[in-house]
Amino acid sequence: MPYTPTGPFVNGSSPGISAAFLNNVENALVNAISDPAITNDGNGNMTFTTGNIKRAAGQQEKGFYFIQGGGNASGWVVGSWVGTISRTVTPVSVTIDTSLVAPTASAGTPSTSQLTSAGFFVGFGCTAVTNTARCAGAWTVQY
Amino acid sequence: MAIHEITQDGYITWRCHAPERHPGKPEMLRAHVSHEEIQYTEDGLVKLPPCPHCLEMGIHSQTAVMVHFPPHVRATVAPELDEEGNPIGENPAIAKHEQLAQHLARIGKTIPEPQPAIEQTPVFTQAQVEELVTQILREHGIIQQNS
Repeated sequence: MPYTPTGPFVNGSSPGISAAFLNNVENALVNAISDPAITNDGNGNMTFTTGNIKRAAGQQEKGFYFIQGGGNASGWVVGSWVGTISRTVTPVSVTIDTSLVAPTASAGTPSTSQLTSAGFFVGFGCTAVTNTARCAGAWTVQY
Repeated sequence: MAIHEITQDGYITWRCHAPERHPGKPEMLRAHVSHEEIQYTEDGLVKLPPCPHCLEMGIHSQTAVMVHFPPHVRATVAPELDEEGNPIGENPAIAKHEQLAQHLARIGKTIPEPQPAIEQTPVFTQAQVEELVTQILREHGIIQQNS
């Protein structure tokens, strides 16, 4: 939830002591330091001693993929595993496109499978003998 | 993208994952479960038809949704949260996606059998390879003609 500042504060001037402001500050402190499993060293490093980064329901994770390979007959599959940052929660859908590199050099249309809490597989079937079949694009995983 | 809505008569709507690519054209996509491109993958996901607006731009954009949630999977799908982040129920996508599975079952769309691996037939037998190698070695005088 975005925080709306009450200040800036000026010595001897308004705004004076505000319960709303102080409660917000205290809540922010509680949220920041109440989980002993997450620490911040002040240099931009966050440490999780337990737990995982998880997406909530309705959220998305986005990224890109690039796959390239060959086959010595039509039907050979070229593909790769795409790992998500979110872990331990299973997505409900995955979308991929070919917006970066359209299927090239006897690459078929890419598709997805093995959608899990750790990622998914993206691959295509070769449509002829090839050594440089490739395609690339964006992906969206929905939780 | 997850299914936005599914009607009792089997029409589903979902959102293109990159609608900013085609401004002025609908973000929401719609198809009936009988659409020929709505099919199961071998591992039980259901592929929805590609976004027609992206296709016009030469981009194939396709969503696959999970429709079967055995208990061990169901337990790991993110729950719906209230404004303070407390779980208040099952992820609403589960019910919609299970409805899709029911519609597909009614019209006979099922998970396909895995395709068998392609049997690779050797171009030459081992004996043919040995004969060819011997012939080349003879021609280059590396071995005797009668060996």
